[in-house]
Amino acid sequence: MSNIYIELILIGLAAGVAGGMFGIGGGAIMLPAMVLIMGLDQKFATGTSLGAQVLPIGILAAVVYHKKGNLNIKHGLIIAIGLLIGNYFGALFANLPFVSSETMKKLYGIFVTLIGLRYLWVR
Amino acid sequence: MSKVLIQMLLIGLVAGVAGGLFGIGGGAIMVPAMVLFMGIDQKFATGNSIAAQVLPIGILGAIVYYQHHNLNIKYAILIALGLLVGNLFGALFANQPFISSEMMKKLYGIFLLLIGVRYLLFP
Repeated sequence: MSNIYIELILIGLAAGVAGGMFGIGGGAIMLPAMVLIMGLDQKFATGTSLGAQVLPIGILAAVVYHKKGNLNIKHGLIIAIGLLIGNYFGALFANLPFVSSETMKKLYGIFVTLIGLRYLWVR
Repeated sequence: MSKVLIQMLLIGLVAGVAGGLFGIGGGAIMVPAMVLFMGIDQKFATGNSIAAQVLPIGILGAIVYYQHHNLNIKYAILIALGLLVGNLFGALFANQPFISSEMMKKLYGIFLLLIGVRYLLFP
């Protein structure tokens, strides 16, 4: 296997651990890893991250949460419907020709920082 | 539909837009929204978020990125393999009885903040 493939699997593994812990689907790790460490273009990394999320990556973790009574299947289904549709509109915006990868990088940094701050300081 | 279900659907929609924009699977929005707005327990919200990710939520967004040549299917499959396995270990850790939801909340806030700051300061 080439180097880049090994890097991708390792990034997926690390992102998966974070995803299983925080329920974030791993994108918040995958993207910075692909962009900041591997040097992939922001939009290309976003596409790859979304591509990975077409597969049922959450299945093993969901089984664990369900066994411990920390999962409501109905709520999961309904939120997934919203996600499916929302994802489409977000993707349309990010792929507009006048929206650059540079812009998306800045937006992403601001977005993640704000949520982190909100989580730590506002209860 | 009950109020909770409508809230879930709306959270999914908003998280989906962010997911399509940033490729993050929406968890970074879904979990804070369920915990901070709806008052759902951190671990329970994580479980719901992961359950939503069992479904191919990324499919519509991925098609848009693919059409714009911002997606490599092979990369996506490899990273998904890592995610699948990593998610299991993250979920096993977070569901240990001695790991409280309070602790996971703090870890989550710190985690997002660090990524955001790294993104903004070292693009």
